Amino acid sequence: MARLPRDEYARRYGPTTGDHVRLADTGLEVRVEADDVGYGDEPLFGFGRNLRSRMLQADRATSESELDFVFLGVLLIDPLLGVRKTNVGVKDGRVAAVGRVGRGHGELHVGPATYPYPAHGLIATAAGVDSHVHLPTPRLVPAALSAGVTTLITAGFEEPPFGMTRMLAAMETAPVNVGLQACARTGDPATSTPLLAAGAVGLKVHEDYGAYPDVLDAALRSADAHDVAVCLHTDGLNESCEIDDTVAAVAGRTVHAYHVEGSAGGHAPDNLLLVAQPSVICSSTTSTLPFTTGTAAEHRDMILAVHGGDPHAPEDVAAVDERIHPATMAAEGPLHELGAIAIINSDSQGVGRMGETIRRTWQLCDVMKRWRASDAGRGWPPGPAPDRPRDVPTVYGDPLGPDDNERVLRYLAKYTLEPAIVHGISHEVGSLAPGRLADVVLWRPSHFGAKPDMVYKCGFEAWGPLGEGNAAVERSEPTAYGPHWGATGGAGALLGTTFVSQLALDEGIAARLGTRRRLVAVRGTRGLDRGAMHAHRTVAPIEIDPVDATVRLGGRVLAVDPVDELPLNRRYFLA
Amino acid sequence: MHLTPTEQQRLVVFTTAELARRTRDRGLRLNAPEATALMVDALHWAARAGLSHPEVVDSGLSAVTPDDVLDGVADLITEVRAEVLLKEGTRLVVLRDPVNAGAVPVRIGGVRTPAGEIELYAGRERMALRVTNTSTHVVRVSSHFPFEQVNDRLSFDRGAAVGRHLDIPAGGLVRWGPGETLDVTLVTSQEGAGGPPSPR
Repeated sequence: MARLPRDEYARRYGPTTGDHVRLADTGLEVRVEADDVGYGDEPLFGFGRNLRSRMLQADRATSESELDFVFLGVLLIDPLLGVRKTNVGVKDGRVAAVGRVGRGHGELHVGPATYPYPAHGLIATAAGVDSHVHLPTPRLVPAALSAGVTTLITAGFEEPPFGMTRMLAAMETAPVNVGLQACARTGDPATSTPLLAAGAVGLKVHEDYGAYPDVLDAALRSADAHDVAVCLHTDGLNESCEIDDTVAAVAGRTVHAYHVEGSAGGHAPDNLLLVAQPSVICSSTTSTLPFTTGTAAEHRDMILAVHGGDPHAPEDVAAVDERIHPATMAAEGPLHELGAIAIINSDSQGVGRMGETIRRTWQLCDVMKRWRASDAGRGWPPGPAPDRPRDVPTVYGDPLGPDDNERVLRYLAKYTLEPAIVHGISHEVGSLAPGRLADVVLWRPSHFGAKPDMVYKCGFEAWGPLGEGNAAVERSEPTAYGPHWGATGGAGALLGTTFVSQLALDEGIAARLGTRRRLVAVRGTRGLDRGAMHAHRTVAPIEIDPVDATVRLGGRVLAVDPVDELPLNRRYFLA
Repeated sequence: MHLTPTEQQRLVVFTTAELARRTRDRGLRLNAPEATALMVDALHWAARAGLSHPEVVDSGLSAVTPDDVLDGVADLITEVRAEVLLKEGTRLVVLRDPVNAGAVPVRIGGVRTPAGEIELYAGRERMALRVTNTSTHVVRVSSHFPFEQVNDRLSFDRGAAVGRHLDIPAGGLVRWGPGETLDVTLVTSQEGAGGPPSPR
């Protein structure tokens, strides 16, 4: 009777149920919760392997069920599907099924035209959804893809319609999903309508164009009329309004509050009070996460640079300095850990880094695990548990010790499912549950979160560390991130989705743009509150000291000490 | 110069390796890209000096020591592939675990498994079978090949093998030398597997 020692099994076919996998050089370990593959019948491609006719390949000719691509034996980490060893089948650009390869009902049909991607020992996640992207230059797109991000929701500033049309034309062959947000800049909802008709996926209210209560109200009324998201960067001067006035203007309507910590912009010093508002879904930018010894020092010049500040004007410098509060920076990570801040996005070149959304999320996850074990972090309630797949049994007394699955799934959702929900695109992206686009990132566990092994767009190889072209094998050095076939020629247009409003579709944007890309309307963006989030349902009634900005929850200071060293960092990157 | 893309890539290796050398000269430890570049650069220099393929491999394996790299970097570099221009032409070189740092408790990205074994094809029916190779050639049969359909020159009770394959781990092979007889175990195939044989 054939048997394999468990360590030998993991070496051959990748980790299975009960095994623990350390995520890169972090202190995080996931436990494999389930294995769909089938011991003995692991599908394998290659010389002497079993994915051939008469064996695990089903020879039925091309049919409705036959997969285009299949990721074999991969460790899937997914907000909706948990941590499971499985095969991921792709058909027509979407995840068709996740599970066992075979011929029975509900099993993956690997047929004579299915292309296998052997992925044993690798981790698969959904590609990142970056919901706060400034795209001042085309150079940001390679940075995003090289880090495992395939969905870009811009941060506003895309108006006028003339510019939006050309921006979308420029993105025609980029193998990413893109949604351009436009700024709502008046107290009249009607001024937003032409922007939504021209292709804006949502509206942004930004203090640099006036984040006045009436402007916010107008944006929300327009959004309610057209089912689009509103993103908010509040009035950092407290010139037109203070935090209470902004909350009054929101009036219980759904808003995505950008960089809620406040240093990157917003009511000083208490923008973070928005975490107490159930209808405000909060996000953080890469520049303040995790809180490190240099976070505050970096921000003065960064803010002056991106907001047109004059470093020689004392009043500008003073205003910027009063935006920067180490105390709120110290509370931001814990609020993520408690499930009160839902989203991490880059704020690329608007004080954040395009290629670090995913990396910093995992760095934060690692820092917060350590915070929970510290005096400052002990005794706080757990974050809301992400929903678990029903077929996963609870494990008592794991011989390998506790795992980090719940925390890992919550942090993963911060850059995948949660932003997808808020922006009305969770039917397309944010998870690899069947039905979504097969925007897959494969990772070697040693490089998880730092450097992808390959980025797939709609199941097609799009971007990765490709090797030298003359070599007899792939991945011959020097390897460097760059375009695969999915990012070459016209392929990107057949792989990329452009997210727009239903209004834009109704007004004929497809014919006007003449695009080959899929155009998809966002939906379900209104009426959301924390309860609609996957793993961030906490409403945190914090208090903020108006002078030193110390954050308290239930009377206790909520803070993490700044750290001076991070994982996923200097081991991995040339510097 | 008429540099081909391959030659231009040599400069990427050289530049990165030069950065690595200067890093090392400053008493600093190398990151993974630097360490990799230093190994690949060593391969190219060895090839350039006219060394043989095995000597080139050795030069790559000795280019970076565990003391040269940042703690943990050895775990990040499990395999390095590069092509070098030997006197005999272009040849592939593969370095495996090129910074051998010895055993560590939990490698970066490492897997921990509980004690025990995994049972394969659990619950399926098994049967023993004696199989003789009557061919003048070596014949290998892989794990999932429907056993009754194997090369006619393997002699055994074909009727008994219908719907079964070798009871070995997926992807495994059993080898019969010319004239060799082996006792093997067969296991019932996954439901529906096997399919119709191709016409012969």
